[in-house]
Amino acid sequence: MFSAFRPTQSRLGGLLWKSPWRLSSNQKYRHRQRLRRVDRIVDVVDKALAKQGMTATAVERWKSEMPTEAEMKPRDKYTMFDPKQKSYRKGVHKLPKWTRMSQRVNPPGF
Amino acid sequence: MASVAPKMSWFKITLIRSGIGMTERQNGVLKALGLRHRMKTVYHPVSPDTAGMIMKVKELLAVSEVDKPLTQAEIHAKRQPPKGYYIEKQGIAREDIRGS
Repeated sequence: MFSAFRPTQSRLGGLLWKSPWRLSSNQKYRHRQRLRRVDRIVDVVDKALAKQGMTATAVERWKSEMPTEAEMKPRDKYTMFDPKQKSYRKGVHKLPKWTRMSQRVNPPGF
Repeated sequence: MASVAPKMSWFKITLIRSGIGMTERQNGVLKALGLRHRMKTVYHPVSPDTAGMIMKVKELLAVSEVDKPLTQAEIHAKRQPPKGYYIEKQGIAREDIRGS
């Protein structure tokens, strides 16, 4: 049962990499922390600039276009648009480098 | 418009996620900020230029606003553990104890 030659999916079929269909609750928790960290950084940068009486285009644009973690719906937090899926959604963890990327909004109409 | 110029402040920027595998553009920004490896801390003056650079790689950083920048030597000294002992100087320590 535990031998080196046990017949598992990957041994029988060759290359098999599986990633779970949905995020675990702990993954979701860590994902929320990451979203909040980005929100906090934008906030710190914005406040520091405001103190000096300055603004930055990138910061203003982010604030007007992107929802904060609290404003986002669970659907947008944990899933993203995918034209190939029947439901047009897939888990956000399917996005390459998803822990170091910002994926917050949907294309218009979705 | 403000008659008194606001006090200058700095961004304390630490790279907490690696830039490996990120785009050329983002790695270029990290290089421009002087962040060569993880847990490296740099100080940059608060300006729209710096803000734009931070925004480009915000997922990889920890950022805070500070009043004055530390030098590399000061950052290094802060990271050293306590020695576990101190050298007593004759007379001085004793005076302090009596006084208090």
